Amino acid sequence: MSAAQLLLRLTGVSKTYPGFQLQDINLELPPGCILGFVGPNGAGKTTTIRIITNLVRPDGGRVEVLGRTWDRDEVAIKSRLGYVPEDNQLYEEATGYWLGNFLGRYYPTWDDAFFRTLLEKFHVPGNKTVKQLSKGNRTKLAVALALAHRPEVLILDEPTSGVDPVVRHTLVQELLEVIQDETRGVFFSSHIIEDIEKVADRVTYIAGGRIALAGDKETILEQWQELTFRLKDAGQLRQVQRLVPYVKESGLEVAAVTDAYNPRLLQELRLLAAGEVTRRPLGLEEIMLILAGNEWQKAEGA
Amino acid sequence: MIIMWELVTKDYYLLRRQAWWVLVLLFFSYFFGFRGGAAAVLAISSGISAYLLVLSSLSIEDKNNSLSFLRLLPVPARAIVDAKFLELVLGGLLGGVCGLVIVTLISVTGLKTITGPEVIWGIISSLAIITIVYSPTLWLFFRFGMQAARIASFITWFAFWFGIVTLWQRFTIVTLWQRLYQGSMGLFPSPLVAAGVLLALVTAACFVLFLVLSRRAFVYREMR
Repeated sequence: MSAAQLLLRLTGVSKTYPGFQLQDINLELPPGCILGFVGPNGAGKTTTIRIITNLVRPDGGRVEVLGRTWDRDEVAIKSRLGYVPEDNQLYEEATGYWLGNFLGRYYPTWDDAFFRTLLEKFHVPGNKTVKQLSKGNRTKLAVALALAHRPEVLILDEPTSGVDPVVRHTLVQELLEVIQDETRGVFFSSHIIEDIEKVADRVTYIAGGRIALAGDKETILEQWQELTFRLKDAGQLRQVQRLVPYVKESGLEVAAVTDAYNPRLLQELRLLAAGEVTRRPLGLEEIMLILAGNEWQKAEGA
Repeated sequence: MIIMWELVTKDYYLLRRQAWWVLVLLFFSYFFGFRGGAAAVLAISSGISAYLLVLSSLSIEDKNNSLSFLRLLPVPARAIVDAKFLELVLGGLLGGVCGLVIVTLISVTGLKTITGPEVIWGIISSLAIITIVYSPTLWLFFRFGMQAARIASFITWFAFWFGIVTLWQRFTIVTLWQRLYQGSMGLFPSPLVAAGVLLALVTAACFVLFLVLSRRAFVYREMR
């Protein structure tokens, strides 16, 4: 896909803070796509989002939003961007309707009827002040405000964090509706992998300020598989370690995880196995846990 | 300008519940101002309303962590800073208008003799004082945050409105001001016209300097 068609493109982006470094971040968001941006707390998700939205200036690299750069087209980009921050930044003293009216004056594409429809759909009382709303309703109001000008790029920073499953479901369904319009894209950051698994087309996993995994969700789920089998003899373990990166053994019993599953790999492992090789596809959460390195150590030379 | 006006009206809307506080403080301030004459009424009135409106709006931004929200509006970042400075001037003018109403009432009811020069120079000096005293506070807010702005405004408030004004009365220049306020020097005596021009220049320079510094500080602090 050419750079001009991409909604978001980050190339080699870096940012250093005392005690934290964001390094070599490369990201692409094509139209019609929901990109799930996952990672543990403190991995660099919010910093990356703040760089994308120009709230933080990167030390290095290039950020393009809708094919434009912030230094040249700040206002034009902002008018086509929707953002729901992690921490609620809405004025507590303002009502939902007033906020809609206020933002409507700044966005040429603001659709007030759509905004009110969203509030009704989300069951958010627009005549109450933000202070009077529950956390879930505040989040829904923030999403409605971000959607009402029909942004081409919607950036959500942990919108489902701390809200109940019903609200999460509503928000996730809304994102799926947004993406029906194939010209728009959603950048959805969350540490709730279940939500990402439901809606994302692409997944990027960030850990320790670096991107540890990125790609099409279906491809990732196809390629990451757990394979369990019994070795013919213990000496074959090294061969297994050369074929798959993550291996755990207990005597002759082996559990292995590959990040590049293909039928040929299965055939090769069958030659080393005493019996049948059992294959189990992994969920995103399991993959993230493996990448976190708590339970599975990556074999050297794999 | 329209962009900035929307940002200013936003602050007035958000401050709607605190507005009565301003009115109560203004009401009581007039009792103190009455003794000092029209200039004191105008200075206190402008000072209080500018101080309360600007500081309250900064507090609201700080409490709601809303500067990032504003930064994402499709407006240049400098418009957010400019709006606060516009608010400062408008707050001063609003207080000035309230002060003028009180001064008129004092004059009409015959409670005290009010002279024209007293009113004119009262308004000019009020606006100058507000700009010189509060522009740095706005810069401190955009550069270091609310805590620094709050401390600075607290210090300037006490240092200026109580300390400096008290000391001022001990200087001999006060005689000149008294004569002026009494109308004995006419409406535009040349020494005071010169002083007025100088004050206007200092005010404008102070306003522009801190506006530029605030714009830079806002970008630096928010984007680092």
